[in-house]
Amino acid sequence: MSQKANKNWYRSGISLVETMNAIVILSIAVIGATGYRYCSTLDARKADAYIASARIGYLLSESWRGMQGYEAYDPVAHLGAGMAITASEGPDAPGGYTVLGSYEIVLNDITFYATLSWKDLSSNLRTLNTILVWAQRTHEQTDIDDSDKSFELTTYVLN
Amino acid sequence: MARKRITTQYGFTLIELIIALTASMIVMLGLGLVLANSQDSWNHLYTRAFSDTVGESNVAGIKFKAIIRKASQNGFFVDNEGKGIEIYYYNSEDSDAIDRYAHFYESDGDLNLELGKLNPRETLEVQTICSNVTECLFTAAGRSAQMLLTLDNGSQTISTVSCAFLHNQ
Repeated sequence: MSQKANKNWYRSGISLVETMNAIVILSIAVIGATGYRYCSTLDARKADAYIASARIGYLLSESWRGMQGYEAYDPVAHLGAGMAITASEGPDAPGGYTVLGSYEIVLNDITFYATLSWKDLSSNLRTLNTILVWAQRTHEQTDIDDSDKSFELTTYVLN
Repeated sequence: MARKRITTQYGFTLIELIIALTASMIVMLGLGLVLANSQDSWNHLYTRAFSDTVGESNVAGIKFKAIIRKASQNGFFVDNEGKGIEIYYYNSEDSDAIDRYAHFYESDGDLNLELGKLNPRETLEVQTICSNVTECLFTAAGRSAQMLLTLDNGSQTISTVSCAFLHNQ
């Protein structure tokens, strides 16, 4: 009896079930690691788009501010030679603001939609508002309805 | 007797083994594809975030803003084709008049910054801020200046935009 038990104990090799269990455990570990890298990649892409949106917003806002908030400022005519910017539909301006224009801007394969608007707070103080939206989730934006992220800048000029 | 023989039988049949191997292979193949795709995306993004081209474009933007912000709003000009911009500034708080100039210009794929004295004009230093420039456009709008820059090192193209406001008189 004890000889039989010893025989079983020293049986060499691993069974198919043990192998399958090991594969499943390893697969879970690999899938976990892959998910982690996927999330970090996705976050980096989001950050990249956010940085680009901030730069574009700053570019539009400061350029317009440089023109003292001129009502006929045209970013397409001003910046069109160096970047892909066209008049297009854009996000809604804040309530009470007059829309200067809406634009579609493509930078590093990301499409942004921007709206510039203004409002006079007093006879010599004007608020300039810039809103950008883009598709953060899909990165394959075809129109403004795919947008799910926005960036807004407000600046002031003295007339 | 025959029933006992069946119940004590251990191991798997050939059919079971084939099914198990096929299932394992499908899972491994799927995992391999996911891993390969993940690795490819990771490499692409790592390059996108940390390549020399990205670093140089950031440096160019920071340098442009730093120089433009200290410039005088009186008398800066953009070259005809927008390939360069020249601004003027006070060298120090003790300067009675505008006594220095800075000239950004693109030449042979390099973005250069020339710094010098005025009256008489004398070049003090020429810095190459970044290379691999394929497109460079400077514009001005009232009291602000813009730089639209595209860098391409052969494997990666990065476009960046910068804008700064001229605060000084």
